Amino acid sequence: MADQKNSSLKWRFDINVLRLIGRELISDRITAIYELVKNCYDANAREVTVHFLSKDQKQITVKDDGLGMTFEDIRDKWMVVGTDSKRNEQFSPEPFRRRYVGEKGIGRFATDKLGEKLLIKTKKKGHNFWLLVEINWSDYKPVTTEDGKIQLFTDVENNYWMEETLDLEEEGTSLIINDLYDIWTSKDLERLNRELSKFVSPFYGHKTPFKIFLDSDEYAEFERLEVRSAAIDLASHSAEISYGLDEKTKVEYQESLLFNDVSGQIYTVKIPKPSFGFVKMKLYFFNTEAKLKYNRAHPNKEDRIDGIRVYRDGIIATPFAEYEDEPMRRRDILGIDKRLWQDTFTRIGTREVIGYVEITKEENSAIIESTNRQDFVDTPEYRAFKKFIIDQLDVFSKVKIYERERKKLLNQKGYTKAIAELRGTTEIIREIEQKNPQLALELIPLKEQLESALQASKANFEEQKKMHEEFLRRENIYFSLMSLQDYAINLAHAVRTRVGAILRMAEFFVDHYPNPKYDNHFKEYATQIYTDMVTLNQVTDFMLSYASSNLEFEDLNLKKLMTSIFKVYDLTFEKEGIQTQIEVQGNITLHANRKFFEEIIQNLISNSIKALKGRDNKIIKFSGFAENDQYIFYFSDNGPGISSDKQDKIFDLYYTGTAKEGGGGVGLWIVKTRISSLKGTVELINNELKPEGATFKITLPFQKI
Amino acid sequence: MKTEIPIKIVIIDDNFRDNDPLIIALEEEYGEKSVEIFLTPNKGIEYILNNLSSKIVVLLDMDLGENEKRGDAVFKEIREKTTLVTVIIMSANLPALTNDELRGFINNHAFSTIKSNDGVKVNLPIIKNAVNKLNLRVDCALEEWILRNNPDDREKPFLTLRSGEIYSLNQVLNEIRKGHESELGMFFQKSILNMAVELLARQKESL
Repeated sequence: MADQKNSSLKWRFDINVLRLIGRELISDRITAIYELVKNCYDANAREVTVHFLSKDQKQITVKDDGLGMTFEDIRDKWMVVGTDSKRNEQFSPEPFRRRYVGEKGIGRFATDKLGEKLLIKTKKKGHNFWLLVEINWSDYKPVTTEDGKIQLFTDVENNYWMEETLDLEEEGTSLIINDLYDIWTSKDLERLNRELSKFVSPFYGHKTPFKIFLDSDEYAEFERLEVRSAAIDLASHSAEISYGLDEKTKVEYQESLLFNDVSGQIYTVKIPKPSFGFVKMKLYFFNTEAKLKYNRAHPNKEDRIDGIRVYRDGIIATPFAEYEDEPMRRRDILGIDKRLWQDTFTRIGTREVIGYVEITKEENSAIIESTNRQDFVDTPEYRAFKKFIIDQLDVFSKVKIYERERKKLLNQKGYTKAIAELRGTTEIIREIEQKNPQLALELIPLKEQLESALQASKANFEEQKKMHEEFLRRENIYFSLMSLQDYAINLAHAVRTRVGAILRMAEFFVDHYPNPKYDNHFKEYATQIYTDMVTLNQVTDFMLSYASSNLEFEDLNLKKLMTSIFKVYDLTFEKEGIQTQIEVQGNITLHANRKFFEEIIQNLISNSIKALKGRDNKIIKFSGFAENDQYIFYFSDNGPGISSDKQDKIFDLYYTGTAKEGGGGVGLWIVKTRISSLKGTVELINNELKPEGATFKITLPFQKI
Repeated sequence: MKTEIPIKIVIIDDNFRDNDPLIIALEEEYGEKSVEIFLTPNKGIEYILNNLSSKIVVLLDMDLGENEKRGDAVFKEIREKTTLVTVIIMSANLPALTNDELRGFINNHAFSTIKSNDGVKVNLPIIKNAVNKLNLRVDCALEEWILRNNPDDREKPFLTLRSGEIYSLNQVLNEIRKGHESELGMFFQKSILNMAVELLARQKESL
């Protein structure tokens, strides 16, 4: 132990470098407090209070009842960069044995983010003194002494002293941060409250007591307020998945959610162990009514319903201390809302769901938090993990569709019943009138009333029908536009790269023509520029055709149509080395909407192109023939095929392995939707191209009207 | 004997044609076969890692097509293995780069960014600048010196460490090229610089 007298402590590194690191890693002040709370957790604290003095006093205190620090702890650990005592040890001391959450050893520099001065007050159990260390961050600005020498940061001394106490039992640490850089408003505190409420998973892995309190001298609503998890009792639907060992097969399994659209029930199925390891998950969905109830019960806290949180060993991994107040600007790490704009009608967004995903260090070691704590490192396992979560969420979009349909049906039934009852009543009145003609005059107002009620009901019913049709029409237009996304990405890329190449070739002419040395290049480039321009013309013409599209049906020669659709992809086919085969038996004329049909084929093609990446002898084959009263088409490729565990989901909207590439994953869903709109079916059958591949069978009825 | 190692310009871009005017300009500048084009990132990475003993400038496109990694991931992969290859980020849509991507480029010392739809006049000077910088580095100076030895000598034992391990000139160069990945490489580099400074300071040698 050092002499118990007032003295000074020096940092054991270049503090300025460290401050830079600290600032980079601690992206905002809410993250900063979060880091400090994490340290309290790691110190076996049972309780931590974040206390804000009034605005004028500019002070925050983070006080815990944890293990406290000795002089040596401060000298050899707290003030030494890179010496992270937690790295060697995975767990905090007895009795809690908590898994350490602050791994980087940078939490201490969070105080630098908050205010200029720091006073550490700490005490170990059994000690008869409090140790106090004073750090003034402003002392660490580069200083030049009078004789022109640069003062090293390690030369700055920090005062420390001891304060005696008779209470040997007390232990803990207080970080008193003064001269705050920012003003903390009640909104900021609410944000902090919201983020801290996610710190500990309310369900899993939280075996030891850890309570967080906010305390504000200024705002009454935050006076000794215990931070609690968002309420989930008002959710309209919930689901839970876990993992285990199948007793019969002795094989470990992961549960995954599915929806039965006949019974309207969510159920679980067993799937093999995912690449990212086993996970547990609880999901709470709030439909419109549930959200209304929630908002009434928790005024001004509607943004507590804010999506999926991932917990590692019971402690939040992400989204980690989000600072953004504006929901639209918050990070969407799992990409949930990114999908929302594409289908606002049925997709589940982060504002409708609270989810708790539990991972562990041992089981899910390939899921790694990024250093700034705002995301995960992009590994194949993490991508699979993200996709798995979104697949689970998609079950609720099916719930949404199911409920909407049911409501519609109930409404229709309700109207039909009401109209039937009104008619019945009119009939009764007529009978009364026939039996009692003397009442005819008296009954006139009643008859009139009934008639107008009947007319109003009919009008309402019609209105309702129209509204629904309008909804479907909009949905239809919306989905038509949506399919443009893939094409637009293709187009933008094609145009951009071609324009760049043309520009360089033209530049070559400007710089070198005439020069016999380059004659071969001049000729080559002239041809290339010409063909590139023709391609660009085709591409833009095709794009423009969408601008004048309508929903009319017309007669289409199948062979011609298919050839023209495939032609658009000539460039890609050439680049990817894909052979195409179009086989149409007889002279088939389809009566269909051209755009719908084009979309079906384009989506299948673009799907196949993706599937064929990296394969040898790439083939895409289309064949069509008429049989009885229907057309049958086969669309095949010799890609890797679709594994059996994915076959159930491939037609689901946004079910894709290429979200990151902007692929969208709408392709097969559009195929299915469009084929349905043409009253046909689509299914995945045994692959016709061997040894591997995928074959879709499309059946369309004759539709000559 | 040859005293200068030929430079290699490695282009990783799914849309780059092998007769692009930029290639002609680069080959005129750095010699025939100085440019290697890879349409898929994995092959490009493989080439770079197999040729760590060459002087390499990489032009790396950000958007490498559907089903492929993006440029930033490829860049990270290259950096995990070597810090000494000079990488220029190429994109037709530079403003679309995210802050995280930019941060990654800066932290991993990308040399520059260029617009892939710009002309040769704009992009060539940037590439030439990268090559010049490359020529001025310790590993490259050492490389030039090593090349003055005949190929057989380069494989012979050249240096024995105190621990007893023996290294040939080529092995020394390889370790240095691994940059921060190799403690030994760092040690060699630092020792060479220290010795050079010392020799100059003692005026045993002059420049």
